[in-house]
Amino acid sequence: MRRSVRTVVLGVVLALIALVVPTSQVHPEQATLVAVRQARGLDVDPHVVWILAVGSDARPGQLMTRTRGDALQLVGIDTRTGAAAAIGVPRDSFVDIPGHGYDKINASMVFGGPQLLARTVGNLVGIRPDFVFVTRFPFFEDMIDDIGGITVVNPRPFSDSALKPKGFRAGRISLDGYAAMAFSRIRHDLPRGDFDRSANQQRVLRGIQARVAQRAAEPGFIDRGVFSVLQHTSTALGPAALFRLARAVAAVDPAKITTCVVTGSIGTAGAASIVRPNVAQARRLGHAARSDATLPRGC
Amino acid sequence: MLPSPREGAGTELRLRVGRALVVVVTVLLMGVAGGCSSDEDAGPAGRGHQDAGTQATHRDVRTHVVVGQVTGLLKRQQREQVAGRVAAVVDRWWEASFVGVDYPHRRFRSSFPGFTPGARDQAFAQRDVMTARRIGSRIDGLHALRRRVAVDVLAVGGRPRSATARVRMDLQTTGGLEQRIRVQGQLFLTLSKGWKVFGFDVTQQPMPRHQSTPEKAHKKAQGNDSRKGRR
Repeated sequence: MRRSVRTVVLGVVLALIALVVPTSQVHPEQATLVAVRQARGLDVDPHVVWILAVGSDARPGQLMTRTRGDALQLVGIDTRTGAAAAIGVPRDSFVDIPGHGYDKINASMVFGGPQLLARTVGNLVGIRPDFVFVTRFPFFEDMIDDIGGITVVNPRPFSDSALKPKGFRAGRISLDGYAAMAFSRIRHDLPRGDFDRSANQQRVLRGIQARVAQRAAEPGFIDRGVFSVLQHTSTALGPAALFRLARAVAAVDPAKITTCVVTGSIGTAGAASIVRPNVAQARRLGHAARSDATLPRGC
Repeated sequence: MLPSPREGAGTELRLRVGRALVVVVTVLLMGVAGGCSSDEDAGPAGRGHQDAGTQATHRDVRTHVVVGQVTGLLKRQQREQVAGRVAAVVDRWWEASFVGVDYPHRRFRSSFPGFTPGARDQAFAQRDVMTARRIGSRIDGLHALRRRVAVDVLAVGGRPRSATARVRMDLQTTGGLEQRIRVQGQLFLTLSKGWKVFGFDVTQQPMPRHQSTPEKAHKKAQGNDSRKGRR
């Protein structure tokens, strides 16, 4: 009896020792918390860059820079803060085109190429773009596919019997090149037509920026993008300047992106359906964002 | 009978073995009782000894340069030339901001040779990351354990137009603060009277403990390099 008690006591003591005394084995670290300090900077002149992005609907054989633009977005980037703004201009905006009288704003590219379009948009918004970036839809689709598609948040379902019969559902959706093109172009099924389409184009721009930023650290990703832009777009910019711009796009902070569409009223000029833009609002947006690429809440 | 020299030697040998065994057993017991023991957790004396070896081995570590992704056509010789020149710009920054400085050091005004004026201003504004300023006044020395630069090049018309330097430098401090630090990230460069840094995206952080021995870092670097070489 005494022996068995002694054995039990010894067992308990040994078990306690096993629990209390740590083993000599070094346990691998399960988690590490270290402070990572980050520095970012870009020297781009001017430090707030304004780019007029034009989606041309030029058909094969047509000169891209002498056809009407289907999408007009004035995009500003503050390369010091990572803020970015997009001001959407409805393509049917009826404005005074310098030297040509009143017409739809996108006719100015037919009259005087990207320079005249930049001037006309500049007169409406009060910001003269530093660069005009014109591309046609096939390249736009290829570009979206090349970056691996994009994701947009679609506020409402819509469709188009010709471009997208099955339509787009509401919510967070993934778009390949063709779908992104259709998403940017459809307007007939949208309640506010041209204005909602312009807002959709801005959703696509957000999606592009997010994907570019996500992949910017991949070796050669930005370089391939610049190379492709040089081959497929009309730009007077050299490779180095485009590289700097691409780095600026990649460095945009998604939380600092603001977008607005120039509003207006629908009317007619002769047989044509037009938009009479709210010039005061356009100027107010331009004034607010000119120096820091940040638009006011509520546009 | 005089003891033979051979017997005497045997006794002394046994005594030495016995003492050595006692020392070994004692050390082992201390290790077991302590629960954990490794080079990482050695006391200050042990660590200092290891650092002395590290300094001797790694003070003059050279920058390992590789040609990364090349977009567009560029001759092999030109690729290597671009990589070498871009790496030289990176080296000048590292020397001026980290390893070529007499410590203790507090001011880092001239730390960004090879940067454009705008990039220099922005880097200086973030000098806690872009230089050793944060620790500069608390250390006696800072030397590199590993320096690595991979250069991606964009070439158009057979000429280099822009470059991205993917950089990583592991550092060891000495003095009042003993720490291993990793500086890594990307520098963006274009040609304007030589390669100039117009942008950067850089982090600075203490190195994780499990990667902190220079031997491990060296071994890992060799592994990375061989993988790169095979590509």
